[in-house]
Amino acid sequence: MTLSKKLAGALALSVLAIAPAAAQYPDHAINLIVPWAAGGGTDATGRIVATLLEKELGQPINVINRTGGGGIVGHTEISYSPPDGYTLGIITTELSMYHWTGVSPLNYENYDALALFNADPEAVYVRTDGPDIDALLDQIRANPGQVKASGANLGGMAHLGWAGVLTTNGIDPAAAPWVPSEGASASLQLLASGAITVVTTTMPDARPMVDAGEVKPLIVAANERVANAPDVPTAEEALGNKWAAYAWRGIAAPKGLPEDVKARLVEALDKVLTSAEFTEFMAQRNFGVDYRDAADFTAFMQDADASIGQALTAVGLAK
Amino acid sequence: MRRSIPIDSVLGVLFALGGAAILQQALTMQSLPGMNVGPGFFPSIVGGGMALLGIALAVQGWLVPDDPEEEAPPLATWFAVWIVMAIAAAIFAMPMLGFLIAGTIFSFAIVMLSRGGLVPALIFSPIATASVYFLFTLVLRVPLPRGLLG
Amino acid sequence: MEAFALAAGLVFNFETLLTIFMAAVFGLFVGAIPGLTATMATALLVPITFYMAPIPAIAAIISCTAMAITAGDLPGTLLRIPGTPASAAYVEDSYRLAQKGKAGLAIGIGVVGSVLGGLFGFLFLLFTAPMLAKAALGFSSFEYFWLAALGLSCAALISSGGMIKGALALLLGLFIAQIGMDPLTATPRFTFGNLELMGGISFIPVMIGMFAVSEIMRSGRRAMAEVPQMNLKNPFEGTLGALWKYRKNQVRGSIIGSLLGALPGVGGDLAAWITYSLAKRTSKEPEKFGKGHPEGLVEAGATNNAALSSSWIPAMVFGIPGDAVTAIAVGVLVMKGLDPGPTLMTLHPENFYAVMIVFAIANILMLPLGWVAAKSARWIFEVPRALLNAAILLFCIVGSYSINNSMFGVWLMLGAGMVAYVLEARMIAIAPIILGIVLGPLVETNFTTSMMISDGNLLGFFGRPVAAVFGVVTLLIWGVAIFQTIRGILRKDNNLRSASQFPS
Repeated sequence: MTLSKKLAGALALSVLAIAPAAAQYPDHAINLIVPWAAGGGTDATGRIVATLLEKELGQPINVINRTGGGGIVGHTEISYSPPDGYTLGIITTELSMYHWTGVSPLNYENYDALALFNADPEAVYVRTDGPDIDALLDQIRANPGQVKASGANLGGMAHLGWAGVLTTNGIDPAAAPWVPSEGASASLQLLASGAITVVTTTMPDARPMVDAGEVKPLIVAANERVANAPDVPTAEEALGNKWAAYAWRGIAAPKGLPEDVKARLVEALDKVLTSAEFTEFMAQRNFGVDYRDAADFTAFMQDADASIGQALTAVGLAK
Repeated sequence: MRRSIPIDSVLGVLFALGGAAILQQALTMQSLPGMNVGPGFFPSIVGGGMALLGIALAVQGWLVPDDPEEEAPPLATWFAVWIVMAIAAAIFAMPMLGFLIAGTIFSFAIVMLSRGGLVPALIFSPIATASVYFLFTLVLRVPLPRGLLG
Repeated sequence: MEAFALAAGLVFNFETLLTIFMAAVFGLFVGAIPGLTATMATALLVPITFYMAPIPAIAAIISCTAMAITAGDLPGTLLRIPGTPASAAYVEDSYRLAQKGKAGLAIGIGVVGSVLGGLFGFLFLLFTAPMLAKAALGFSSFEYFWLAALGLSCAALISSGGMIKGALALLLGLFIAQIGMDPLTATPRFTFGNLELMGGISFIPVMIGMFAVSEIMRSGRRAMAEVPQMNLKNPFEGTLGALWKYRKNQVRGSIIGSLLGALPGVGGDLAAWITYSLAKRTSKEPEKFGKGHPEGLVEAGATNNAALSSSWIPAMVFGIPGDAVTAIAVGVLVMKGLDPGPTLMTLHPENFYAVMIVFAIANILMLPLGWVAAKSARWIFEVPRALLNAAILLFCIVGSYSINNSMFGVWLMLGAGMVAYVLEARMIAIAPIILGIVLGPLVETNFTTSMMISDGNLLGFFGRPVAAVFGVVTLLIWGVAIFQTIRGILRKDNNLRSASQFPS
């Protein structure tokens, strides 16, 4: 396998050397790797970016779902691909976690960041007949271990979002244990069936269940209130302690992109991500738009890396 | 009647050994803080179960001999071995030669293996490969390896 | 009623009907190609739906997936390459029927049975959708655990080679499912540091390898049509007779499918396996199952499509998608301003009814399209076997490759093919392996989640009324099966001993 890859790489290099210098990037189809399954939020946003970028660059963009390993497989594939601008990828929140938990050495330095396009804060939900936030925290303080929370896997952003709500208010995260699940849908179902008390997840994921009158949001771990849900207070407003946890998605290329290719992509993405079509799509799906260009995105990931390291240490999952 | 070792017993022993290996691996998996069921729990059940049932199959294979009326098919035929080797070769060749070239050679080999005749093989292979290639790359947007033609 | 008339107006216009038809043909095409899935067909449709009005957009998704899933039975029947985990439950019967010269009947039962099941699901949902959705929402990890365990038990117990072999096959499937990263804790298991293994083993290459590749290895040199195909003028001949003969199975399969399908995540796949084994258990001729007997095919086929309709209910009423296909559809719904949720039924009931009508139309469309497909299916039997082998293997390779766009999938296919070749030669059924791969993660994650919720107390699994009933049923089934096997072995042993006293 590795031998064949090396040989293939050598062949590809020699072919590249013979071929005349590419006239104008891009001159053939581009692959966009999405590290999550078809049908999820990353896939949906990735496909709309691809569709719009395709028009902008004038070449087809194939969306490829490289799933598995909690996103590691796809993220790794992006970082390994040749940095020629013909393989791009969507990178997500989980990238900041792999090297802290020790499952993979990957981090943001393995990529040339191109643009951040989405960030959604984690919000805390209970059943519609459930307690308010103060009563909930009192219950946790009074009976450690009784309240169970869920939202996604152990050590994911939903878990860290919940642990942060507890630690910023002086509660040990073990007092309201995390029940790992396969994702937001499964956790919301657990909440609705009455098996657990709390779910943390992003607002687009919980929206239908809120509309159905099954669950209600208590607080949102954000810097300011969310436009789509102006009644939900931020953690700081409700509890007096500042806490923000965002799940984000951005587009990146393997490290070492040629300057002219990068410039072309950054310029095209700027047009796409500020277009009316894109913002309209994101608003309809309740995805928060947080557009940052290449430099800002890199700085953003640097910050995220540090704060997630702290959060993972707090719940005892950092290695 | 002289008995050879029943194949079921051999399979049973293989399963038992595999199960033991899974169990051994599973027991080394560490539990995570705050979890009362660790990631090794289910694999140990599966490994243990496989080991026990493997032994059971080995014993059953020994006690209950094959029905002599039902002639068991030979376990491996040359044809089956050649098919496996052809697929393996295709997997190695495809990233280098690309789907079009490797696929044509592969399908030529399969037709010949299945006693399809030289002329049909020569006509069919390039056409079939090219149709599959264009169907997947153009209509279904699966980027098949382009290899030498890339 | 006014809403219903409005809904009919939304659907019965040229644009929507044309969209439904085109999408159905596309779904038929993708579903009939071995190795391609309904998910892929749907994902390819999404960018096109960006440019459509809301109802045609959702109609395209619905009719495309419904058709792709039904068409997935075609390669299963003709080439022994099942299209979905659900159709793996009955692929053995439909393939053997085709090998007996009754491909038309097998496809006919699949298509007509599916249509009836689907229409039953439609009527059923028209009246019960909100209730059913509410009930499904009451299911927690405890109930899911028992349901999944029940499904696994079915697979082990119905397999033909006896319980020990069935259980071993099941364990092998469970083990394959454990390779990769644990979905709850992201701990790598059995990966040995290999990146591709970390991504886990997806069941499609394994399914292709185990069914199709092993079949070619075994019978690739035999002529395809040993028995000439019958009923060339009317491929569906005998279908109605078979369906009438097994009408009880048809009805029971449709009801169970409609109920279980409403459970997000498990629904369709599980339901078909449960009803197939139910059909075998209650049949007068259980020994014929797996050898080309229509009874299980009727029941599981009906279940499959009834479950397909109701699997949209939790997605539409609560926005909880059960699988990738409904997740994509939820996305399209939201994008078109038809937010899933109860408001879809209260504020805009015409939209909800329109979706239901599209279901009915898509189901009815299956009849003519399925007929054409069945009629052309006989061509496959006239292609020389050698050319067919090459074409099938090319599709197998590309299909396995396209799952993750990596040669790793092809390696998996080859490995799975070799394993299945050996196991099947020794009467170890491979269907339980596939079910183990599909349901293994479900059993494990729900068990782990439940243990966390009950603080490690096993009695918690019987603490909720529905869970307790499922639990007792599952344990009873296992108890009876183990008892029978032990008795069977002892008896056979005794018989042999007494027989060996006489020279033969």
